[in-house]
Amino acid sequence: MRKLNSLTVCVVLTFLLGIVGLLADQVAPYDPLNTRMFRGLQPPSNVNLMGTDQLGRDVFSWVVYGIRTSLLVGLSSATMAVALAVIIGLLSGYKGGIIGNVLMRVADVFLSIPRFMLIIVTVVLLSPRISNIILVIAMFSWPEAARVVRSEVLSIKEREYVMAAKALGSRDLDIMITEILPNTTPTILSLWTLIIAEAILTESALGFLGLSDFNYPSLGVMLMMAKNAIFVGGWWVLLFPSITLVILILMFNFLSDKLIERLSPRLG
Amino acid sequence: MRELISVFYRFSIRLLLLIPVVLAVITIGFVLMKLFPGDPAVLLAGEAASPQYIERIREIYGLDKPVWEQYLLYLERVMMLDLGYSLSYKRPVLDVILTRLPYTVILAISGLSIGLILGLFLGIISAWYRKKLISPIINSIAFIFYSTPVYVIGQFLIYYFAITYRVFPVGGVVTIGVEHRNFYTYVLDVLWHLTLPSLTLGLVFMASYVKLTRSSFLEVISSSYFLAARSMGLRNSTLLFKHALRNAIIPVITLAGVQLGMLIGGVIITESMFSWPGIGQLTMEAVSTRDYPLLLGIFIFTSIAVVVINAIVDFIYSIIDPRIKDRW
Repeated sequence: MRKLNSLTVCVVLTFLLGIVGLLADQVAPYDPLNTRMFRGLQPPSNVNLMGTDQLGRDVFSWVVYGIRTSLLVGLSSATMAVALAVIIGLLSGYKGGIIGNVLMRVADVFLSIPRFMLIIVTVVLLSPRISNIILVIAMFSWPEAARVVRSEVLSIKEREYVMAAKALGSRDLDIMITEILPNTTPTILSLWTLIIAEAILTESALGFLGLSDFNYPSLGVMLMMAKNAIFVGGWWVLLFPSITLVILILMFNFLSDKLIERLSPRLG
Repeated sequence: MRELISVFYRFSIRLLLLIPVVLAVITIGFVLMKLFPGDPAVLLAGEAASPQYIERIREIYGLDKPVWEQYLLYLERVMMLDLGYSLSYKRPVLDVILTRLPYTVILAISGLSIGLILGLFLGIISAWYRKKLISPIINSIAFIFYSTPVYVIGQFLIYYFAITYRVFPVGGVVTIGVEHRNFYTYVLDVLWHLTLPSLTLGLVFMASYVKLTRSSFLEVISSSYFLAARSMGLRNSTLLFKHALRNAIIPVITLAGVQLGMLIGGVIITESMFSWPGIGQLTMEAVSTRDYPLLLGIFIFTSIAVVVINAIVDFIYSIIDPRIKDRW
């Protein structure tokens, strides 16, 4: 029998969590938003697997829906950010030119100012709806990815096969899509998972600070409840959402590390 | 003397190159103001303001003029260090920020130092004993901390050290209701309150320092000059401190400067968790009281501060270590 390797375990776990998030309505025993004041701060039991918070909300149901929110925000904002980064990185790396250079300067500016502060201010001004949170995280996550894609493109475009394609008279767009893009795939995949992890972190941090969409239970919001719950012995409000969140972020960080090792050994 | 002039010259150029970045930051501030879905005059005057006051704000900021004129006016005001007027404090925004700044500086420096010391220490052990069991253990711990949000670390520290064992206070800067006999007891009290918040920040940053120290240390150990030093039969401690550490430490210290922007994110959350009255807590106050002029002012102030400090730190490195070239 083949030995289980850590990457497989991680991928399987990610899919399991994805299924939990997808089937949140079936998995969660209660409506997470349902408050029942008379059942506030109940310890874990058969009725409430992970106990309840001060408002009587079921922590387990909240965690299940929280996974869904985290994955929704993480996947959609990271996908948008990486798509932007690939377009901008390709453009400025391969073509250069005024637009490419200006875009890279813009990326530099975004990279040099405190990102989380910028995200807080923008979310507050636009009001913290889920669509705004996703868009804002995507908006301010592409610069770091674009830098990496660009430097990859810069090295790939000097390779012989690109020269050959050029000599055969391929158009620039064709070279970018058929020659350069496929060779940046490992980097792009690794960046994608890394930004998913960052986006999940950012979303929950916003929730912790009270900036979240009321209709989408966020793990950060339950951890905000924990801030007061732990003073009256409600350790379960802190423990279970924390573990879930750390596992989520850990897995995507781990995937990012392993993907770059596996798919492009020369970088590992 | 000539060398000094050349350093001064390079430094001036470096500062000049900051101007476009600072302009960009102010522009972002202006765009953010425009993003607000409503009357910007209401944004700046507050929702409870009288019609007369809103009218005056509209006039001062030229909000009835074309956009580019508004932009120039805004630019001029920020250049004159006028960040507007805080609605909740009834004082100029810059004043409010400056009274809170020392707390943030103390917290940031102590957090960063704890992170650096822990990170260097663990990273060196992990690289030096890379064939022993301790190395993967340290690496896994660092990886877990790398993926743990600041406020999860902070809350677990509060739960264990402030609530269960009551060794450290839950928050604040000094014990309320205690008269301090002299300056030293006051400083001790502040340090006692500073422990948990700075440890929280330190643990978060430790993780990335461990990773970097380890790889930089391994690189030095496998270099030919280190092999030469080793083959001279030097003692392990001499090898470690005199030959390996000095060279391995440079990229780690450089990272400390680069991470300043990230530090601000950690500081905002840590301060609001431990009621540490710095800029981070001020930010969240501004959010909850809808004090938008203060919020925008904090954004512009911290962004410019981070950009300038990073430039200075970079410059100092380029003098200390000539291998690092100016990045701009």
